[in-house]
Amino acid sequence: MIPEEVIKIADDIREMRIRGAGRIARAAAEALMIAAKSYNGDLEDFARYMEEVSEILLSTRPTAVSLPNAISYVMKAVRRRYGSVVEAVEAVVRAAMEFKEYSEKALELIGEIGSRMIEDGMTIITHCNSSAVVSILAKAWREGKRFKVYATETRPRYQGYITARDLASRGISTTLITDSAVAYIMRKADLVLVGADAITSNGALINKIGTSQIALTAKVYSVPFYVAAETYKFSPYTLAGEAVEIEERDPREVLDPPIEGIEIRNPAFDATPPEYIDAIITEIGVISPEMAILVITEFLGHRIVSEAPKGYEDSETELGSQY
Amino acid sequence: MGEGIEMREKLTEYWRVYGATEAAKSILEEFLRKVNSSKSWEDLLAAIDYLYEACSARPYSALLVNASRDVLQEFLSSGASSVYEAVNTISSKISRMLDMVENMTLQAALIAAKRIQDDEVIFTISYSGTVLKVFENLVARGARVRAIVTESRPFGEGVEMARALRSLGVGVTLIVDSAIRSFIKRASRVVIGAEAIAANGATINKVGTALLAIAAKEARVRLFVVSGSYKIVPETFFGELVGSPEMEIQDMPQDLIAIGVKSYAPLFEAVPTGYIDAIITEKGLISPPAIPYIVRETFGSWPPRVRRIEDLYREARTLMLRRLRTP
Repeated sequence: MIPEEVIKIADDIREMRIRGAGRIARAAAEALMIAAKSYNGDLEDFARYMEEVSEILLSTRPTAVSLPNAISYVMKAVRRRYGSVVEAVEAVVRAAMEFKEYSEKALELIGEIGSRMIEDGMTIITHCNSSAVVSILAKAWREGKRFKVYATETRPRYQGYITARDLASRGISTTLITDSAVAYIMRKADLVLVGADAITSNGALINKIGTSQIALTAKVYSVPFYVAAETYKFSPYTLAGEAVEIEERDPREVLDPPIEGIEIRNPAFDATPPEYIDAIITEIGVISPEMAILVITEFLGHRIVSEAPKGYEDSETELGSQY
Repeated sequence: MGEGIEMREKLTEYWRVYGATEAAKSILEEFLRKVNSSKSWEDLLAAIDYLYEACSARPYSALLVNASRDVLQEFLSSGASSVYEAVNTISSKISRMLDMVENMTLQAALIAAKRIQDDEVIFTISYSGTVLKVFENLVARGARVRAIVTESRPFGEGVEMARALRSLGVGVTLIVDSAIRSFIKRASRVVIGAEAIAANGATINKVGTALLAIAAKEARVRLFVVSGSYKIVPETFFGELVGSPEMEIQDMPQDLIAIGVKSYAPLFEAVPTGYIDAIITEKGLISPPAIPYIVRETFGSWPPRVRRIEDLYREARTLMLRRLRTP
């Protein structure tokens, strides 16, 4: 019996009441913890039960790799041998707590590292809503740096409003612009700073729809384009050749009611090629996108050994030990 | 039956509201009504005040400014001494010009349609009556073209463009403005209208067009501008810039305004010539830097001998006031 609270978290992720790659990852770890705590079967069935819970969580949204990475981290604890249910549950709870703590610490570290790259008097463009970006800008502002942020409203769901709220409530000078005005504003910009839903093994960025055309425009105008991303957003599956699935959402998000006879397409994400990215700011340091492979192999500990991993079950994830 | 008429009425309404050509034409038509009902020099003065105010409010509307210049010039050179004569002079000039604009648009659209093949996917942006005319030609020819349109925030004219294209029988895909780069490779060509065209061929159009042009260039998809030559702004030959009205995002939530979030929504932007493969006017398909050629054809000389709208307005006003005082 899967607890209602867990089902609710899964629904909240699917319906975007819980959104943002980092928050989704932490919510998934939390859900696994709740599921483990409320387990009342025997030890033999525990792993199967936890697998079932993780399948439900995995099915919510396909694109952000933080979700399977978080689940993978916690589920590794499930797959060890235990003498009792209590022992197994304790191990899962510990792993989930570790992940959540790590994730929060990572945000803080990204804020610290990234804020050093913000200069006084800058004009910065950001897109959608990213906790890592807000962490950087908030830290820089606290350090006394003064800058101006243009936040895109981010159709169709207007996550730019959340960014504007996050920034303006800290006193940061914030202006919302339409997504269509990015090229117009780029002439005035010194820096573009965005978050990430996933980073592939060749250094491409998967992020909110619109990111790649902003990166392209930044390149045209010679404006540096930085990405802020925790290491658990790097995708080990892409190393095995898997493509990141771009989620296509309900057309009603674009136009409600839709018009009969007009096809509405609503992909939620797009891919920015590494050549448009100047730097990725992670909690373990600043890297060029081409070095994404180092994060996946050296830091996260994934490798193609003999045959390609079929999915997250077979991969080895080591988090939290080295920052 | 009723639905068809309703759709056509709606369409007319959208043209009036959204297209650059149509918006300018509706102002000229209103001016024509004011002129035709003028009984005195006072009425005529009010009419040219209306026209000049419209020009000042929309300096980026090349058609409006060019047409207003022609009308004022015609009035000044006619030497009209009675209200009746002046009304006739202005009225017939406006009517001729409106016809001319219509013909130029049709001709440009026809040339553009010839260049497009039967199975193409055309990416367009915002609402353009001229681009719709291109599609009308294609549909009439039996071409099975498809269209991709962005919604165009903040006003959503792209949705109306999609509606108009659908009613022509064109298959349409509607996307958010952010999805341009994700969909550009599905297009065989970009076709856009123009609000104004500058001396060097740079084209001013609805905001988002520069993004589209940059994405098209990256994907090696050709970009065509279709426009009557009346969209060329002769002032730009003498260094004047075409401004864009800057607005705020009207539907921003109140709580954001309360914590000091500002908003900024420019309406138009320029596409540099390097991103435009061809400009198609009624005088043919040219490369953007060849705009001076069209100017010579249109204005009779290069550089064009044109007078500033401010000077013409002041002169026309002075003349009307003089006539008013000495009947």
